[in-house]
Amino acid sequence: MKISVEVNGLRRAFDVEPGDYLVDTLRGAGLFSVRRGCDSTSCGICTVLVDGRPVPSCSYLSIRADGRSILTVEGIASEAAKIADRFGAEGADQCGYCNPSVALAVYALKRTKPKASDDEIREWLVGNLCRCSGYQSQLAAIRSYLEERP
Amino acid sequence: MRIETLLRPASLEDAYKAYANDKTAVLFAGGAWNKLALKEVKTAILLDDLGLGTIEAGEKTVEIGAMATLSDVAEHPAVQSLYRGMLSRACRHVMGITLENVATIGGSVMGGYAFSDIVTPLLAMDVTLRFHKHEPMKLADYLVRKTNFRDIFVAVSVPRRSGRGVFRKIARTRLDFAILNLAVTNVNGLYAIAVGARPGIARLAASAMDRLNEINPVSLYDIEHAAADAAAELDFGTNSRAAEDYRRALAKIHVFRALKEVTFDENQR
Repeated sequence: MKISVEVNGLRRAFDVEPGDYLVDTLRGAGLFSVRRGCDSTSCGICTVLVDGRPVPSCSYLSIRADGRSILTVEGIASEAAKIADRFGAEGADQCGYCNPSVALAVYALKRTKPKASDDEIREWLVGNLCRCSGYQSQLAAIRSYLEERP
Repeated sequence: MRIETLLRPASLEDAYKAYANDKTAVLFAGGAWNKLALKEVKTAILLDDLGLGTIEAGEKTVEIGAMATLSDVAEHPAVQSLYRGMLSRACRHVMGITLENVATIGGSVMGGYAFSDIVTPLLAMDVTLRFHKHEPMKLADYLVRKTNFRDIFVAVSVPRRSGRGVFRKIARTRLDFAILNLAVTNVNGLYAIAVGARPGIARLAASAMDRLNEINPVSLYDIEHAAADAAAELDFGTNSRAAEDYRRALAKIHVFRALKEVTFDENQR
């Protein structure tokens, strides 16, 4: 089946099987920042933004993306660099496997709730697991990023 | 997942015909748990293009379309105004924003998931399910009858009552399925008590509600008895997350606290 999707600002055509998931379609297109984690909607590692909203690409049928706009971390390079700086400064960065998904979730948070409280930050990121750096330092980094002027 | 044929109907009637005429067809109304439940699908019917994602606030009801995501529901002002935002909070307690952006009300109700954190508050809110062909049906009746007709679930109709509500999810972490969940409402002295993830799907504690609803005004003593009655009348079970006795003990204390909150808590007034 043919689908037409805007990926990181560029309109692209994909030929997908009905049961293909977005994580596979995007990785097949060379977007390797989209990573596979639990593969069951639980860990948030595969997060991408569909029409600005974070979704788990491991459980999102590619066909559903037809006509929609998708952002991966490659599409928010300058903002991702700012987020990475904050994470580095707060020691919130270790193995890096979850970084693209967290960066996208934080990017979406800034556009949805720019003045999010600590509780709202925790609430927003509850589905994005990190198994090495610890969440307290991430919280400090995200707060710092949100306070930064655009 | 392997899908042999995928249909993307443009109208409700087309979707209904495709579903009614093919016993192997599976409706896709979101995407949260399809992957875990299904490996091979002969015919999948995507409901994305049917316009079922709207939420409309009427004078007497709020109509939540079956394809409205849990995020849509959580953020909608009309839903937030119902029962002190009980349903909005429940939608935000599922498993994080990514899942809440793909899980839908329709999938939550029709999926029949015993662990559902959404069915429980809907049950306590006395909602009605609307279908394309069949007559509307109370959620409470639907769950008891285990109706399995091949129809398209269109919307859930939530009565706009001025009431208080409390939802609780008891789980080890936010990402775990509930050990128990419950929703309690109080509309001018008429109470509803729903308990889910027992581990069976949500049920109303009908006898406890009836006894409590005969008392006016209720005291702390009445509430304590109602909570004990609810824990006694509902069936609980054991699975890998919790034992039957533990669930029953949790239900007793949490129903008590919820009843207390919807009766006496000044913040709920």
